[in-house]
Amino acid sequence: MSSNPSAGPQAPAAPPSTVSCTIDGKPYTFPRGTLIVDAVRQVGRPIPYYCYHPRLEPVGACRVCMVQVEGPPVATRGPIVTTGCTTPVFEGLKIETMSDPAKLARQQVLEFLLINHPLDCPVCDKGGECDLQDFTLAYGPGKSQFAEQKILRHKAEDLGPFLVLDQERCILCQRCVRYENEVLHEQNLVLKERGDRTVIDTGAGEPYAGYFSGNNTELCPVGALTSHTYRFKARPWDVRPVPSVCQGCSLGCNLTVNLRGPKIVRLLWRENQAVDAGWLCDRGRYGFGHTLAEQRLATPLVRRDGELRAATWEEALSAAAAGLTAGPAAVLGGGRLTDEESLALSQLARLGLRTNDVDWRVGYQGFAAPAAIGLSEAAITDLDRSDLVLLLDTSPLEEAPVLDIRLRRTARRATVIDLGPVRNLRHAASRRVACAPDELARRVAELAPEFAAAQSPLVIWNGRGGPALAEAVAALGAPLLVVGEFANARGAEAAGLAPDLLPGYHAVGAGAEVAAVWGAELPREPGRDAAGILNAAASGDLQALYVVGANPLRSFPDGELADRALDAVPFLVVQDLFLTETAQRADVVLPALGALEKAGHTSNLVGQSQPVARAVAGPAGALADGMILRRLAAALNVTLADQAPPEAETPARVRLPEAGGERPGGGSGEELGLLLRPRLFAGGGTAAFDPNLEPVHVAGEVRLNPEGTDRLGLQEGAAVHLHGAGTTVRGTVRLDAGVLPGWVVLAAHDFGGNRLGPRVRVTAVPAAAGVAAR
Amino acid sequence: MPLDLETARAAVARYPSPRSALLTLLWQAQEADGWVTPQTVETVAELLGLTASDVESVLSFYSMYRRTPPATRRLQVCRSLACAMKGAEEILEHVRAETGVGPGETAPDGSFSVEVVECLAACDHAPSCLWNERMEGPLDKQGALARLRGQGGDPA
Ligand code: SF4
Ligand code: SF4
Ligand code: FES
Ligand code: FES
Repeated sequence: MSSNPSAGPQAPAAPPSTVSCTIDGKPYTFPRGTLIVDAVRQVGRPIPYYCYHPRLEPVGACRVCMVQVEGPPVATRGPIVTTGCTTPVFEGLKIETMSDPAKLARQQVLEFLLINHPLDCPVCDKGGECDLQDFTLAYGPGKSQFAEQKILRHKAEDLGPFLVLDQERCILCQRCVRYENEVLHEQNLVLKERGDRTVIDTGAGEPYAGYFSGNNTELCPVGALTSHTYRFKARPWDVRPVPSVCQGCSLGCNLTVNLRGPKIVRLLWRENQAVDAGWLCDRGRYGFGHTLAEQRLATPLVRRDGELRAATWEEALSAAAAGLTAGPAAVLGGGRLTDEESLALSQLARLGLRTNDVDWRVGYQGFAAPAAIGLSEAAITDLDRSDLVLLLDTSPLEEAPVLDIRLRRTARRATVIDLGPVRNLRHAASRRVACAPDELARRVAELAPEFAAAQSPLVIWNGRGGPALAEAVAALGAPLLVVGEFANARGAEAAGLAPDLLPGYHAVGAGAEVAAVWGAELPREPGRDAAGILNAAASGDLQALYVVGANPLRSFPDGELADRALDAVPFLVVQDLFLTETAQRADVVLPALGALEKAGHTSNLVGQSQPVARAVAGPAGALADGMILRRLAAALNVTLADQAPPEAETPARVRLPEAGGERPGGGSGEELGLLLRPRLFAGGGTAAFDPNLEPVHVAGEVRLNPEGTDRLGLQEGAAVHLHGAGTTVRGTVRLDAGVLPGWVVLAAHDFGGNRLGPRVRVTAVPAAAGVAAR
Repeated sequence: MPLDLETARAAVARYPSPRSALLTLLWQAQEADGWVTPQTVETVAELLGLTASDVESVLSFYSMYRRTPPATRRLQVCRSLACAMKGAEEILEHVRAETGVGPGETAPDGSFSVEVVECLAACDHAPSCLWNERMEGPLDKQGALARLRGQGGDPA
């Protein structure tokens, strides 16, 4: 520092923000602090690297990124070789990537990296896209001097649901270890032993437990960490890449579908900093198995003589059209459609069925866009700079997993208040405020002073809890991120699949602009919401129900009401990928294509409409929802508009359903309050039917605080019965200190949890009854 | 009795960052139990705010932590350069041939165990070893075998 010849006698000026240097003889300028590896990459010169990764902190572990440098800081020593990934560029530095000393250094490193390597490239999944192959070919010595016995290690080690580890191929670059540590804060993979015996492994050899294991397979530069689902399936030159967007949840991470012939062989990340920061969760990455699942519906079904029987599309559609127009009809669902399809369904309901009895909210979520309750919208990237985050009875980990990764980073620097009956932020520090659901609004109100003092506060909420809670949130005045219950909840709401909304957030009754585009008068009275529709059906006020991509028997919080409604309604049409519990009750079943099988747009949780591609064809007998709607509309004499109606200048507010009846247990302590909370791999959607996700599927999970469970004889893993509202369901105990004592948590959308009413008794299943049906 | 929580907390308080107390705590637990039990891993992780995997990773790096209950007589043979060249491998082979117990193994009756370790910084006594955690060397085949069989004086 002191020897800088240009420094004058005055007070030292702030160093300039850029530095000039040369790379292979050509001059360049870079922002101060740029690493040599980044500089060299930017100007398109070659530099090999293993441990370096743009999304991880530099560590300098593999030593393969050697370059020759010469310049002011090293002037007295002449040129030296050094690691480009740990050295920043300096003013006046001369960088040589291809000088003899640099080449020799890389060659020697590569030779060392291979001494214990099994050289089994022909049977390695990474072959053809492996940096060890590629760099050895480009920079390696071509020959090994190592004649001794190689150290043998574990091959094809099963690391749990999705990963396979080959320890012999590992070059110990530690990308996986650092990702687990820096990005996830989970440490599912660690280094064990030392010296030439060092290996990667899970802590105590247990299966990998987190939700983000698959990212390791893309980070690993060699064939050490690979996926079960892709094992021996293809070579990179066999596959055709199709860019698309994940619809596993409402976040909408960007991904690339890889096809070999007509089949999906894998999904890869496609970095979009503003949405996914480059990551995918395992549900998104591996949840493509449903595209080929055996139980996929491949032909329309029509009920004849009490039985669902295969029918032609003409028969099914004319039966549906006749049944839906025989009397008052209502529409439920739409949260899993594309934006275009939601609009079509909205128009079909208003013009074909002449009703506003339409609602996408067949679960717990009350609204999708902050504007729908008069609040401003946060951007996903606001998490990177906010200083105060309220996590309001919402679990990004279970509901939009990749968002949780970003939140973990936020929590390192900012205050995160984890408010609600269940602990939701599990891999970073937070201020946990445990409270029962009926105290939420009061607890939120108490945070007002803190929110007023914060620089850029933010609320994350999944929209469950009703108008009182929404009011309390609004009073905080902070922008809101709404995590959706269904992948395209946002698009459904924007399309007006709600009883009081039209497309573009025009209010029902004030839809002149919508009517102009659709070219017809609209029904003017607001309709009934999902609960209202189900009540009407149950009491015989509805003639027909059209359920699109929804399974209210599992998802609707009052499952008993859904059950009565579906029993009572004279005519039921269900459009879905699988014969769900709801579809089994239908009079007409219309087989639909899945998210990766049709093109269109999907809106993510901040309302960003992203294009999705048709990557695979899907079952031959199924049609895209949009096509089904078009044909059904034609049968109803409605022509669907191609154009979307314009947005309302001031978005109309949506009327929120009252909060479902979550109430604390009885005073005796024997009765517990029941909570239904989302779990990533439980219940609804395609996850239930996806063979790839089978090993992680959650069913019958009963989460209890360990406190007081001894008295009831309920240990971890115990089989139990839950009794409530005259119903009994069976489950398995998971002790979880993050659950508020006095409550029991079941997975939303899982087995009959929504049939139990607000209070349950939990009893151990007597050993002899262990095989009884649930 | 497992790790004394009070002593453990005192150790944690000596360092600016809790993780720095990891080795100390593991050692305290081993002194108390004779080995590092799975329960210790959980307890220490919780005390220091670490994951169990992190503790496992550190544990596996150091050969002086035992992951199984200790045998009565414990031989740890250095296999690093100087000792390797002075015949460490041959001693280990001899022991295996005579007793059936190889490196990393314990006699079925629990009377002795054999391990290999990295350089003990006693290269001038190569082949060097630790007898019940006490430095000795140079080691020879007959001596090793006799001691493992409990002849020629049990170690302290
Ligand atoms: S498993 Fe892969 S990513 Fe992890 S250290 Fe080994 S080579 Fe690197
Ligand atoms: S977070 Fe959601 S959108 Fe992203 S990969 Fe996972 S399931 Fe797909
Ligand atoms: S990439 Fe620079 S040391 Fe590994
Ligand atoms: S090589 Fe054995 S003690 Fe140093």
